[in-house]
Amino acid sequence: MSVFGAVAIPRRGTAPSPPARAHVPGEPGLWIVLFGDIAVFTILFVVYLAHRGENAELFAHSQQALNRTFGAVNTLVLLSSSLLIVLAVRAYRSDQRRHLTPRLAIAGMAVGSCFVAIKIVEYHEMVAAGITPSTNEFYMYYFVLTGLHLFHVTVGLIVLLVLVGLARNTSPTLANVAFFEGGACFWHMVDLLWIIIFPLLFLVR
Amino acid sequence: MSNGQAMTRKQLDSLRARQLLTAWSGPVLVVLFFLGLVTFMDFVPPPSPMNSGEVTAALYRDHLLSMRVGIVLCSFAVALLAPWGASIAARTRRTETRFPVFTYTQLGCIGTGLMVAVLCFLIWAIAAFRPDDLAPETTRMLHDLGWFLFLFDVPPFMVWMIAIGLAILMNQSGRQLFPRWAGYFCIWIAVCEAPAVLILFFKTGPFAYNGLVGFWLPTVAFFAWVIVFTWLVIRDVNAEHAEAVVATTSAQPAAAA
Repeated sequence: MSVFGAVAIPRRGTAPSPPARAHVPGEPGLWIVLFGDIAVFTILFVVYLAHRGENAELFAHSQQALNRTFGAVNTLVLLSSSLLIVLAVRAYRSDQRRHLTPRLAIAGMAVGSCFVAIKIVEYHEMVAAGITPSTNEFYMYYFVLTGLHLFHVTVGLIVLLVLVGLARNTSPTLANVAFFEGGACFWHMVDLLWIIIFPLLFLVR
Repeated sequence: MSNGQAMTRKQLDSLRARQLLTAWSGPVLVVLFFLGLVTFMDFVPPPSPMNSGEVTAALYRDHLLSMRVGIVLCSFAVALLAPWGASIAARTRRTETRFPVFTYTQLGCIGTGLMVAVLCFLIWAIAAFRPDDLAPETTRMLHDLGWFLFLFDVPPFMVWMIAIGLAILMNQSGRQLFPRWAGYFCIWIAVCEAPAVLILFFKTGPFAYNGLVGFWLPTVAFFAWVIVFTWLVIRDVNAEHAEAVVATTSAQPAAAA
């Protein structure tokens, strides 16, 4: 699969395998998307916390209806999936262990998909209990923040699928390795966002 | 790049002029739009979706002339999406010699996006046509319809941005098409546009059509995108022109630069 790149990557010159000085994972431009996305979510978190401060009682009360087990399990799901992808990247960079990459990437994707399944059950439970985004302000933030994040998870899973395809290539080019790293970074960002969203929505008192 | 044929200085200048003309329609669009929507229509920050029909009708009735002038300015502004979009699509076309799918996608999205934007101001124009004669709720419906045309239909715009982004990131033609970060930038802006569809679900708060995420994020992101890409196009056009001029003058040393 020769998606994305090959024209601009090689000019960086250095091999991506050893963590050389000033090595940017993936490629520099990708970080516009990563930091940009984090910035947008940060705005959302600030808005949420500001409104939470104005209406502390309602938020604290509504929070109790959330299923914390689902949230915690989903945190573990994303963390293990991220770990598998880290291992996949390391395997991909090494000539000896490259054959393990497809399996690790598929495992990472499979574990990551559990997040979506659990989220659907969680949403279903809430809607069945009569809780919707218009129930009150807290649930509006709950559904929008988790919904936007779920959208990112879905995009991330598609990216992982591309990585699985890429991993089958036994002699990747520099551009392939860079794309693999970049895709993995996106997945870690999705994980990072959840690690902030989970305590903000489910735990903060 | 002149497709291998030697071009005269005059031809090169004309090539640059037509590209700059289309690229500059971007900033003109932004200025006209700002003048219309902010200065004359006074729609920034947007009126609350919670307003009653009476309050909404008063927005039009009480400032009828400036409302109408603003709507006319904006109607002209959005038409400039076509030349501005063409300035990018034409550069994409050059890198897709065999199957210009991303170019066609851009053209389709420019057409639908422009149509929707024109309709938005046409609907507001009708709201400002005879607000005295209409029931306030009817004016409010037209007013809401305008805001939905303004914000809710981001998908064609997102596809447009992603088409440019992928054209940049997947470019293997050997011909230069914007720096790679610009491709990622397009994708990020497309993501920023997405929450505009949330305006359907809320009438107050950050996700309503006057909210931080419903209005400000997609709108500011869109105009930032127009400015950044205008700059990229102008920069590339000028650089290419300078290069081509050097090439022609070195080929025919008699012609003074």
